[in-house]
Amino acid sequence: MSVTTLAVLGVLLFGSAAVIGYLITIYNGLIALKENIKKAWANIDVILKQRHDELPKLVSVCESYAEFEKGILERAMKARERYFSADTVAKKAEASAEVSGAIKSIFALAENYPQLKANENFMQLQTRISHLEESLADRREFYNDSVNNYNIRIQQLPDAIVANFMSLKLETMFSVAEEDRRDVDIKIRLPRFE
Amino acid sequence: MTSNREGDLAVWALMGAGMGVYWFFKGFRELKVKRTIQDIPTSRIATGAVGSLVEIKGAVVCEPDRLVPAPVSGFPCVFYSLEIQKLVRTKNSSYWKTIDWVYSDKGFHVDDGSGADALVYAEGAEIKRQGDPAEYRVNSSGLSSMPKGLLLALTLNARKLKSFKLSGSSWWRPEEYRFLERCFYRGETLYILGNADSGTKVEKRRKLSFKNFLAARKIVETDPALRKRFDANRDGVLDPEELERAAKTIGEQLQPGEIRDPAGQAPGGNAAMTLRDRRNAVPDSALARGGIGSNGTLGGEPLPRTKMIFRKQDARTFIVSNMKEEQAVASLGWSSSLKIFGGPALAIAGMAYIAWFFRGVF
Repeated sequence: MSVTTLAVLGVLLFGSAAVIGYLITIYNGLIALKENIKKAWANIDVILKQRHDELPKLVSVCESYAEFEKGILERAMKARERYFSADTVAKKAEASAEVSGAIKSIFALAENYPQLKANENFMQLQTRISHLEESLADRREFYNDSVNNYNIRIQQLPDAIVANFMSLKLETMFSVAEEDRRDVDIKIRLPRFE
Repeated sequence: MTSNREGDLAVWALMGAGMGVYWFFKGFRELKVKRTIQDIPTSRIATGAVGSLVEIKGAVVCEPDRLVPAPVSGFPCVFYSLEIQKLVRTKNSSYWKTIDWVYSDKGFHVDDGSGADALVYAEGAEIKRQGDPAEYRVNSSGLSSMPKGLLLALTLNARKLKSFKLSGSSWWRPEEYRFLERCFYRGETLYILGNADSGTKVEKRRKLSFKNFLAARKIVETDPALRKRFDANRDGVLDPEELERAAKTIGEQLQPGEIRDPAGQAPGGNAAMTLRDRRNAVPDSALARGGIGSNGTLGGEPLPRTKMIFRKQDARTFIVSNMKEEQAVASLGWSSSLKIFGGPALAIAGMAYIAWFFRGVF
């Protein structure tokens, strides 16, 4: 076997090994990205479940104040039920945003009830829920970063070729609901505190 | 008939071919790590989830008397790794071969300003530092004349060393050794990617032995800076209660090779940068807080809880670096491309020469 033949064979061998190796790296990378999104969502879900476990307690404390706006409490509980019955990430995100909005309204309204605000249980719940909301905001940001990385990868060459072969589709971000962006409306039918 | 020179070149070609194949595969491993760094978003320590492949960025926080002296440079650091290499001589050349590693055994805390910190045990991590590591070379006959700090680190880790022996090799065949030191310093901003455990598993500080207590009490009694630090009522005298508390605090942190740095001068004499220079070079935010105090505060602020613990687990990726994420990605990008393309080129050239060398045989 001549030196030239050996060199050509070597180039072909390493060339094909490099292409296969690169494709495998891309494939594994895309799988890891997809799994990262699932993991990021699971980490949000943990916080959402914890928050939804606290919600009935919060509603129960507020209900003990007869004058408290019942509509907001009902809205919060309905959003919570919708979250548990939601079967997709998008629906869960929507229901979660509604719960967040309702909780913000409850805390804003509570400003008008000094006795409620001074209630030990209410204060504990407010601290706990605020902490969960903070965790939720950070994990939502992390989830969106994971989705963004994934969406960029599957649209950029050369990953797009492998992604197309794997039939990967764009993922949607966990966006904040329009209602959540607005300031909380606390002018709604405020009962007078005696 | 081939000349000696051609025979030597054939050996080199064979080694080159093997090295080329190794680089080729190593290049792909680096490419995978590069993509992992790019694909994992940064977590906030206080609210981030623990698990495999968690990425954080933050400043190293540490109380001054918990620092350990780096064995080669002597700089006070929170962590050091010492790579021990031996000079291997072949017929026509020589190369350095890594034979052992020594690590400082204490973890350090990284604070990202989120209200919690992460405890990092960097032993076994892939350490990426900008610049060359501090270096010390010694002949096996001169091992006893090594810097005190280096000798101490090697003595303390003698049991963990697999190949390196402090007693040296046989007198008729002296060996040459090289020690490469990589450290992380207080106040430095680090990038960490690895497996994070929950902070609730934080190990309790080791129990203080009576011997260490007495040794620590002696240190406190003879060190004016420590006496001043633990003089709680500022009467200029260390009361028995103050002395006991000081001895307990220092004893728990007692490290061989105590660091004395009242003038801000680096203890090691062989490095150009003084400790004061290094302190000036790092952000003051972490230093200004005064580190973690013995009273459970961080410069007067409540001590942040430890939320995550990073340590090497199995063969999983674990990177600790003082580079920015973008710098680490760029460095890995260059390195992996060079290995993926250069490795095969070297391998093909080597194999082609071997084929030419044995042209009459096959």
